[in-house]
Amino acid sequence: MNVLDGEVFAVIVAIAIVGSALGIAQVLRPEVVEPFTALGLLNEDCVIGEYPKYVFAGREVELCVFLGNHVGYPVLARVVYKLGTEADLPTNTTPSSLRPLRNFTVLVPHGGNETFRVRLPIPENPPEADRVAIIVELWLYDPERGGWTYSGRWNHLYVRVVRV
Amino acid sequence: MALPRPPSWALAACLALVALSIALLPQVAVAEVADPYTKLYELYVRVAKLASQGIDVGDVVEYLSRALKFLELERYADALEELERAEVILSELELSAGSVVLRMRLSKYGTAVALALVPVAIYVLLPRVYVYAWYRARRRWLVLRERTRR
Repeated sequence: MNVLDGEVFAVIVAIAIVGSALGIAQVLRPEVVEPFTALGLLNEDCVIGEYPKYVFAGREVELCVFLGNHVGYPVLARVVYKLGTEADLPTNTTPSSLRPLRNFTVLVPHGGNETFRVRLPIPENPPEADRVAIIVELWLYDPERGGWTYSGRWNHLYVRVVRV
Repeated sequence: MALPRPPSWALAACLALVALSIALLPQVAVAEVADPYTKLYELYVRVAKLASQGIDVGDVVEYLSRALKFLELERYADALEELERAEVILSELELSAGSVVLRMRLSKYGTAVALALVPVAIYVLLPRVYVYAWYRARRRWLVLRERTRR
């Protein structure tokens, strides 16, 4: 007498095999499949939107910077602030050729993020343009080569400079 | 009684030694404290290496973050203190890294092997367990011979 039906048994074993394969894939997969970092420019209340439209030459503008890390290890990140025009914007591969006006270095753990306030100085003689770009670039310290490398991440904010 | 006057070459040698030690001392001190960033980068490289192996470096990252904040405020002595604390923990982590990584790998691959054995166990054990349970559930049953009518 066959107590356990053969087809039912086959279905149970099939479910077990599929479940086991999925479980093994979960256990053996690398923790970080697609490493990435994130950079965000926020307003003075550290939220998106309502950015300043005007800044004053010779004074500072307060903004917030958001950094996210999903690289697989802590990243030593440097946010580099530059002030230029539309022609000076960086690209995904090359940083802006402008001189950095201020740097902010932070250490972000893997899977974590940092939001911090920054005071960005506006020079007395900013670039002559209808609107200037506040540029923030993200540079990362490369633990293998031992130096700062441009991550390809950058943000910019167009503002009008009021000369006082 | 007057003491004998030392020769001039001995005086010159003493003066040279004093000058040399004065010249060297501040440099040694400066070399130790002047560039905390170099120390920070060195520690960071070690932290990144450990973290890539899957070791929890949360405590060290906290100390390094604090050191960075002190560096921003140009409080170099405080920054160096935090860096030294970070280095102590980091050295301990590096010492135990080998065994921790081995334990993590054993746990990971052990889990995978256990999961792979689940279908085999079900294939082998399920019919036996089921039959055992089936008979056990019916152990008080009586088997009667049914008379057939003709």
